[in-house]
Amino acid sequence: MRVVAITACPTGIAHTYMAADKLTETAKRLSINIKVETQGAMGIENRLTEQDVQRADVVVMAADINIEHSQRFDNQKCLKVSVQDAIQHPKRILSQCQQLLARK
Amino acid sequence: MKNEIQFRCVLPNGIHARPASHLEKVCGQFQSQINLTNLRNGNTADAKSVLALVGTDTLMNDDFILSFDGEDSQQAITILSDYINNEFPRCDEALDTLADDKSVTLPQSLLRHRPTLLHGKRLAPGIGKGLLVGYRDIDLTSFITDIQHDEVTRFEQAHFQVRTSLEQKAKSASGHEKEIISAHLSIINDRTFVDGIKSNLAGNSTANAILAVVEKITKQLNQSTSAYLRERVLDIRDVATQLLTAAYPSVNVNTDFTLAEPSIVIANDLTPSQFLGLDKDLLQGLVLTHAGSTSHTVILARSFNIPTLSGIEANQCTGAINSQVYLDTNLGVIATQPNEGVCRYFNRAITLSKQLNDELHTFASQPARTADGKMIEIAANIACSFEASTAFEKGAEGIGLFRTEMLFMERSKAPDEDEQFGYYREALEVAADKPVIIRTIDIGGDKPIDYLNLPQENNPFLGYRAVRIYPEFLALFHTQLRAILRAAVHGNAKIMIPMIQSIEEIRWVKQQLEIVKEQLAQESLAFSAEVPLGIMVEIPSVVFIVDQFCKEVDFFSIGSNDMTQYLLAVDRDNASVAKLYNSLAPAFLRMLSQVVQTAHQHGRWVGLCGELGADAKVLSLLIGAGLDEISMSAPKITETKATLCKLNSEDCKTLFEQACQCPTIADVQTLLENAAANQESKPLLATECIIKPADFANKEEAIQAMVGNLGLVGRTDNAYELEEDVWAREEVFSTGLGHGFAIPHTKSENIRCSSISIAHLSQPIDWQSDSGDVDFIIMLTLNKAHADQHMRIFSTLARKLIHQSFRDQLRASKDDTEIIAMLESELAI
Repeated sequence: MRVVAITACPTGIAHTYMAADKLTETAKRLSINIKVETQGAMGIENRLTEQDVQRADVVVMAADINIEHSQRFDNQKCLKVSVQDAIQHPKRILSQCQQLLARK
Repeated sequence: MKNEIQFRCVLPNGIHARPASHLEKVCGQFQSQINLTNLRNGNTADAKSVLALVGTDTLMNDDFILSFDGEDSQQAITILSDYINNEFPRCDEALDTLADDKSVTLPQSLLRHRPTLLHGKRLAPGIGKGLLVGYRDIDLTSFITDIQHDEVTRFEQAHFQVRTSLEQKAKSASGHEKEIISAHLSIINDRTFVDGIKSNLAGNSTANAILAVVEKITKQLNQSTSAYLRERVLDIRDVATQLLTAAYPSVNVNTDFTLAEPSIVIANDLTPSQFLGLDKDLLQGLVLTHAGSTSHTVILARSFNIPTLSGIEANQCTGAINSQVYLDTNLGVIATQPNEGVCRYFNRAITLSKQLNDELHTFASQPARTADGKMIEIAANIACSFEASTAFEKGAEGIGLFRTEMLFMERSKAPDEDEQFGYYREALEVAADKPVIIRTIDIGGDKPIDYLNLPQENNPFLGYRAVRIYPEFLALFHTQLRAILRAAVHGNAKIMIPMIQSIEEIRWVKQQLEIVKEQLAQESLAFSAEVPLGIMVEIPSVVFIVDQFCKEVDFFSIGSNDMTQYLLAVDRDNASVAKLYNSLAPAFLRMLSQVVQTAHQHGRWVGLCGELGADAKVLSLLIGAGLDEISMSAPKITETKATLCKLNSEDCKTLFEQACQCPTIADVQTLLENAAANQESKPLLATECIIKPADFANKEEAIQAMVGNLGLVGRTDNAYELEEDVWAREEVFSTGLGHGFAIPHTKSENIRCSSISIAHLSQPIDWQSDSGDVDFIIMLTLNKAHADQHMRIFSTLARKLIHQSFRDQLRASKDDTEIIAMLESELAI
């Protein structure tokens, strides 16, 4: 399974980055391929390319604010969660991705 | 010809006690009956009575008429026209009041504890805690009595007793206290007041006679449109109470009110005497229901550092009487029935405010020096000898400018040698061995003195003043020199001559000094023959021959105000050119450089006295110029010492050299702004922002204390607003991370330089989140304008925090330095 994710929190100082790392770390442990774009106080980093998006099976939006360029994901399977969830329950989120993928 | 003249009142507070007593003195010289009539309200008064003058309710921009009737009216008209036009406008200034226009954001760390608050008007700053005690007002009517026997004698004796006691108190008091006692003395000596009582004595007892006059004057003052004048009622009541108690010692009115434990006193009206009677060690705060910011009691409260609020009625806090309350004038509130959380909040606030005061106090008592250890004398400008003690309390290391004109002004003849001797000696004794630079009189032109009869001039600043008038008034000058030389035996005095422009003038002054010394020696009077002599550098011509002056004098003091005016040929009182007046002009800076360098080459000392010295933004330039001393008004001293210790003298020198090379004032200003921005930058991580072990009872206290600490170390000027920003972020979702960690954070314009604050708590607290209790708090406060600069570090820190090993390392750090070292290496700072 290939997952792409966006993290964005209200101030963009802390949780955006914690959530990104937490998702990456957990995915790695579960051998899931993941790429996380952060939308924080430093702007957009680790930007998802068009190819990244196209190849992704599931998009995780871990955000407490409106994310930028969300129309990229219009035709994708999306999972919307809070940043807090991504930090506290990354494993649960990734298994939700798998369920979503399995549902077809 | 009509014996009257019309004027407009230009005094900001109208004719209140101080200007009235000046006017009364001038009028008192004449035999003629002089009346003042206010044309706005038609009130007429005897111009030789302070109270009557005050009672005319003459406010700023009121037109009034002075009318004269008597033999010497023509002479009186001439003198008073001149006085009202030239001197009267300068005899008063706007009173400083605590800014109450800014509304305060009450901090969430208090509000979340649901406090019971009463809001008042802030009059004197501070936070206090104590038993709320009601001050029972003295009921003057309890004195009412029938005629007993010799009422005239009774009154005369009481009057004499109160006057003598006030006179004695005035001698030992200083500062504001002295000023207020003098105001009371002028009431007890006032014609309207005393004659009013005396004429009532015909058919009344002393008590009833006094009370009738008090009532009449009170009524008059209460009708005044000026809050300032209405507040004078309290002074009248104060003096009346003293008179009544003296006349009827047997009437028990319970004037002694004693405090038994730390207390906050609430009173309808508290007279200055009643205030002075309270034990200041126990008095933690005052709530005055009616007082305004210019009431004498409030002025005293400010000088005794007693936090004071007004605008709260006694009946609003009946339930709280005799219970513990907190009074916080930063917030403008009293908190009654405080619960545990509210108590924690205020105790923390008291600690923070004490720390801040201690810090400022340390600067006052420390020698003035830059961060790299260069010493610069920070001295005070004073105009009266009694100001000296306040100046030294604020940390002055000397008196850089003792203006002596005040002693000569507003009187009918010059002070004699002994009066001057006593006056200078007072300042010298207070200074102990610290230097006191006494400037000989700088009068003439803009500072006229009646008894010298100096001619009116078109251009007084370029005219007959200061050293230029000494040859004509030789006896006056000799008397002053004699008084200074004699007083110099009692301290470290220096003499400074104003308005010197040529070597001829200073040589003449030195001759006079020799003559005077010889006289004193012949008269076998004790004097000091070795008093250093210096000049004011305020006329540009001196700058070009400083080397020659070095052979004549011991020191120089640059008078920045006049020098700027003369160097740039700008009259700053002239609105159309005032904008050209700017001491940051490169020409002024080069002048400064030339004077200091030349004087130093010849081993002479250079100071600066003038408004420029008190400007914190310019301080680095003045240090860079190499000045040996900077003299300023006393209230600026502590702050200047604090700023000074953050400056590096070499950086200042470079900055000054760069400024001298700037073509325009705007360039100099940009240079200064950039330098200030660099100076303000503080490291993101510093031990000053680490609290370990921290003793916080709850989340509110943690945020209050951590944000408060940022205020304490000068990283925020708006701690309350910054706190609000941190709480706004908490509202979105709690910043608890689990594992005992929390990261409150904000991107805010209320933090000067981005900071990471850390608190390691001895006991975990409820972070009001579902991630459990917290004992390790990392607070991130990011400056909005410079966010980009530090964001990388903030994000790296955030990413690291999700790793157990990083958190364990943080927790295991023994102290603040270990925490810093660990973070610096992990975050690659």
